[in-house]
Amino acid sequence: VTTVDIAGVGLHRFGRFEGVTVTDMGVEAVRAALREADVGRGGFQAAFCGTAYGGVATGHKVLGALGMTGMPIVDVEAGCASGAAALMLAGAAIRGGQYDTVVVFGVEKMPRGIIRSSFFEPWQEEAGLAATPAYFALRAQRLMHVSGVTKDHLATVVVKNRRHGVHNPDAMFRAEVEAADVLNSRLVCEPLHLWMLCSPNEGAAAVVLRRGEDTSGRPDRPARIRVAAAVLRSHLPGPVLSESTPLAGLADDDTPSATTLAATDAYEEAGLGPDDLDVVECQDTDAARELLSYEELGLCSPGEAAEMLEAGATSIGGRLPVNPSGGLLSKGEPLGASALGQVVELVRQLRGEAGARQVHGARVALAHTVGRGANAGVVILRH
Amino acid sequence: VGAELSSAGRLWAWTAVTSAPPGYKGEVPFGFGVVELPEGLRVIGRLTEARPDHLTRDQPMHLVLVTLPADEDRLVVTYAFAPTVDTGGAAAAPGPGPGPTAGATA
Repeated sequence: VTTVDIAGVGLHRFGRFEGVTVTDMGVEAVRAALREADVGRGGFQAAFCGTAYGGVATGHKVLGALGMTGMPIVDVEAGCASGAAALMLAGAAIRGGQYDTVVVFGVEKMPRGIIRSSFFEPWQEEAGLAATPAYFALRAQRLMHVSGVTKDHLATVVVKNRRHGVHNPDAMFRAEVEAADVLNSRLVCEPLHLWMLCSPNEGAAAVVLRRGEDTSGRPDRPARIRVAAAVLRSHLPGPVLSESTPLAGLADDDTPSATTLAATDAYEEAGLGPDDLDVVECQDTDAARELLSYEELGLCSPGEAAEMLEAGATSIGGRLPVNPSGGLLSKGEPLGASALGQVVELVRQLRGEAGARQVHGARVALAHTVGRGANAGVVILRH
Repeated sequence: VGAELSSAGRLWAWTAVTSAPPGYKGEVPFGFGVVELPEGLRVIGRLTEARPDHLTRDQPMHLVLVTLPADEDRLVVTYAFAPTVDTGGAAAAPGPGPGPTAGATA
């Protein structure tokens, strides 16, 4: 069985960078990943680039600036999960024997404020229906109704992730916040306040994937980090608050979400379950989305997300730390770079290189992204 | 294939949009929510009530048309849902609503 290893990772930190192009950021991340992997020109046979706002030939521009073209370069758009989609395609190509080494990267430079998406028709924008945070708010309200989640819990998610983010030099926001300040920040869409929502921003992340080799008899070679699963799923029709953002849906609460579909496939592909996980990076576009992810990823039973949070289980030092990087709430969300940014964080966690935010002894890690499409990505890494 | 749906239903989820989303020229805040129709369909749309604490779960809502500015010389007509009866304010609203507004929680 062919396996896929992570040979190197690189990042351009997430934030706002006047005068820095999306190509510049991609170059920095790809160069760092290639250096770690000890791969140079001619050392990889394909490249996949995740981006949603980059425009025509985004990946070609990055690799062109590095003078490393000639191989197939494929741009991949899958909303918030674009990087996970790129990783899935690259991993499958290696497992299928098509390539030995593939560069996967994600780049983005987002406008400020509520994301303008070509997903919506002009009439929907004119009617005020392109109000992305309002859809998040409706989902948050339903979670509060069925799961006993309160606004205080939403604030606690923000406090937790911002506390983690203090120790991440690549994050956009690095100051701790208090629950009262979260609840006093501007109301965007009840129950969501400004600080409960992540900021669309800028950044890049890169990963070099390599066909796995047996290193068991080679003590001189460092332990490998393996891609145990890389899955992308879309939504099933039905749920009105699906990330597919329909205008109508069925009165049916039993259809599994895109996230649940992706997680189920990923656990099967990896031969692992939620109980095997040591650390998780999940989609915290808004504070309620993180709690919903606990349930949809099977980290807790339905209705127990708030309890899991309150018990400190998902804080660093807890049973299963979630978003030790600070999450999107601290890092911001550059769509195309987001999923691979999670992978970079988890590789650092698995290598024991995460400094003050290290989850000690982490061996198995899961990354989760979900957004418009719907697209849900779940990646499981194993050391 | 077509099917006629009810023009009235019950409120299933709601919020208010407090700043103009992309491409929107109308007033803010405006109400935004999901109404469940008796045929088993949930429909997303604007609500005529922009104060979340004036709405309650499962309250009767009905379809109306609203006119909004699009460009200087153009208007857009779209659908919205309006409360069917005046709830008289939500101070006494029963059940787990969306909670108090900004900063009011303990």
